[in-house]
Parts: sequence; C-alpha cells; structure tokens
Amino acid sequence: MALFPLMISTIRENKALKAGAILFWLIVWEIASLLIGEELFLPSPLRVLERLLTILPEPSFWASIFFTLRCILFGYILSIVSASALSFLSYRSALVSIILDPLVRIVRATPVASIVILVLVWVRSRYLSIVISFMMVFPIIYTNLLEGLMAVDKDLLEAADVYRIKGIKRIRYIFAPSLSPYIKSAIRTSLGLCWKSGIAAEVIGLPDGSIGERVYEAKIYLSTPDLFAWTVVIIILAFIFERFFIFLSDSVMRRIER
Amino acid sequence: MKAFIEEKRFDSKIIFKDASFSIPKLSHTAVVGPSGCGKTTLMRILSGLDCDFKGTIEDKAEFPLILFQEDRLQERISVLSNLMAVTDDRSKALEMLSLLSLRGEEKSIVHTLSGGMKRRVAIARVLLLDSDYLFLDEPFRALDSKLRTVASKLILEYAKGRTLVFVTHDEGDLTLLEADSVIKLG
Repeated sequence: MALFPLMISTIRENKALKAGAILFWLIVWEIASLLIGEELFLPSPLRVLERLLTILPEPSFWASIFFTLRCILFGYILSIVSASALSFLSYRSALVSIILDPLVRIVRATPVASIVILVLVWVRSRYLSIVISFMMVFPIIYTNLLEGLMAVDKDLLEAADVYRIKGIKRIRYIFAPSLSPYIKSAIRTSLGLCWKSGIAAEVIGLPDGSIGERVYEAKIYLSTPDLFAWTVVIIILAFIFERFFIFLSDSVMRRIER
Repeated sequence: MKAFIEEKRFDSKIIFKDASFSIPKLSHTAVVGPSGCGKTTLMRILSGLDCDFKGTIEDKAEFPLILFQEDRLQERISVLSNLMAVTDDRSKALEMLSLLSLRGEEKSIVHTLSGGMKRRVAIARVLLLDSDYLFLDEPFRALDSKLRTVASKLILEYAKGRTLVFVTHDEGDLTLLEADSVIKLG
C-alpha cells in the first residue's frame, strides 16, 4: 500500500515523462491546427517555430526583450525591497500593519486592467510595466513575509533575547531561516503574475520598443504566428526569470543553513 | 538573590502565595518537586524572564543565562550555525561540540538530529556565553547516563565562580551538579 504514493511521486519526478507530456500537447496543437486549417486562427507549432527563428536574429527583437526585461526586473526588485521593509515595519508596529492593510487588500482585489488605465493617467507609458509589476507583486510579497514574521517561534525569539542575538545575527540565524519557506512561496506565486501583468500593461499602454507593443502589432496585422512566437518568448523568459530567482533564494538559504 | 512572591497566578490558578526564596551567591541551587508544581515558573521569575507577579526580587541577575526546558534551537540551520549565532569564535564552538561528543555533526541541520543531540547542542550554545548566573531547566532531558556525566562535568566547570540554579525532577541530578542548596516545591 505504501508503495503506491512512492510510485506516483517517482512518476511525477520523471523528466522523460515530463518531456513526453510537452510533446503530447505539441502533437495535440499540431492536429488541432491541421483540423482548423487556417493559420489566422491557429498556426501550427512548426509555423510558430519558423516565425520565431525569423525574428530571433533581428536587433529589434533583442531590444524589445531587453526593454521589457529591464522594466519588469526593476519593478520586481523594487517590490521585494519595499515589501520586505514594510512587512518588517508592520511586524514591529501594529499601527503600520493596520494602516497598510486596506491598501494591500485594494491593490490585490483590483483588476490589472483597471490599475493599468489608472496608472497610465499618472505616469508615462514607458514606466508603466515597472509600476504595474511592482503593484501586482507587492501585496503577495508583503503578505507572505508578514505572515512568516508573525509565525516565527516566540520561544525562539525569547531565547534569542536571552542569548543576546541581535542585529544582523538575529536576521541571519533567527528570522531568515524561519522565513525561507514563505520567501520561496512568495517568489513562486509572484513571478508569473509579475510577467503576466507587466506584459498586459505594455499591451494596453504600448510603450515604444516593448514586447507588449510587438504583441499588439502582431494582433493588429493579424499575424497570429507572430503572436504565438512572442507568447512563446514570454513564457521562456518568465521561466528563466523564475528559475533565476529561485536559484538565487536557494543559494542564499543554503549559505544561511551552513 | 532573594525573591518574595506575594502572588503568582497562571490564569485563575494561584501558583505561589506569600512565598520567599533565597539563592546564595555562587551556590548550586536545585529546584525540585513533582510535575506541575511551578518549578519552571519559579525559574522564570528568578531569572527575570517572568515579571508578571506580585512581589519583589533583590539582587536580580543582570544578564541571566538560561537553558530552557525546550531546546529552542533554529531547526532549519546547521548545528554550527546555531552556535555561531551566539559567538564569533568558530574554533571555540567546534571545541564545545567536540567536548559534547558532537564533532562531525557541525554541518547537520538541527531538525535531522535526535532529541539527545539537540539537547547537547542547546547545552553547548549556553556554555559559549558568559554570565554570572546560569539557570538550567531539566538540563539532562533526553540524555543517557554517560552523556549526563559528560554534560554535568562541563556545566560544573563553567559554574566555577558563578551561581547555578537548576530545575529537575530527577534526584540524581542533585549529585551530578553538586547541589549545595535545595528548594523543594509542591
């Protein structure tokens, strides 16, 4: 009986099976595009790959990627820094926590499109994806970190007081290890949203030379293969972005654990 | 150190009423009694951790050092990291681990250790710090007789020129830690 869950977990870890699943969906996609027979509605995976290989050497392709990546990365880092600082302040002061609570709830509940349109009134479209990725990610990181800080073992904190563990050592040996699962969860949840909201903001605000603008152009010129090719690029970038930040947080945590 | 506890309640239950306790300087004082009689509560009051009582304490310990009944280690980090949290002297930390038969476990993550190993890490951490007063709550919990002897020797060495107060329900600990004064509760 105990072998059954073990088998499921082994199957889930199997890389060949994971690759097989991707291949399966590519085949489904190919069949669907053949059945529809109209590139405008659903181009085949090979056609998308062909478009991707065509736009790949273009300097404007890399310029768009660099522009969007820079904006989203900046917005993301900004939200990590501010959410960390404010969650710590909220942990220390109930008043700060009470003041921030409605703001965090409102930002969380407001649709991305509404925020994008509102932000477009305030800032130039060039900075839109920075502000949007910041605003979408901030509540997730803030809430996760605050929850983690509140969950730090009170007995451990009392012991840290008795053993005079203060300042950097308190952060490194007491808080950071306790917060580690909350940080990982925050990164996993927020990174995908960061990309989705950032690109959505660009598609609405159309900053010059952004990925969002290229996606919008593909839609306007009814170039569905281009739209799919750019979507693939966004998925790959989001994946690399996520892996990078998870690797970064894991490396930091490993250093702390030692 | 002298404590007069007019009243100490735990919720609605009265734990101490008009009780006075004296801890002679440089003594090895044992606090004994059955479970639930208030040994840990008394230790917390004497060490200054619990101030929620009616009464007074004279000659309070300035920076009391406490080995809690629970190990209170950071379970997600290594044994050595737990020690490095209280000292900058890596070689001293490793030496302490060695003395407590934990050499080779310095890189082990605490949550992978047995109860007895965790207890020894907790003892090592306390002994790396400096204080005139050392309070120990059930110091040898989860340790076998051989390790009790090893740990008690280290504690006695540390307690030279210091005041030692320890809570125990095991009469054998009185001999191990050379108790010269006993507070019986319950």
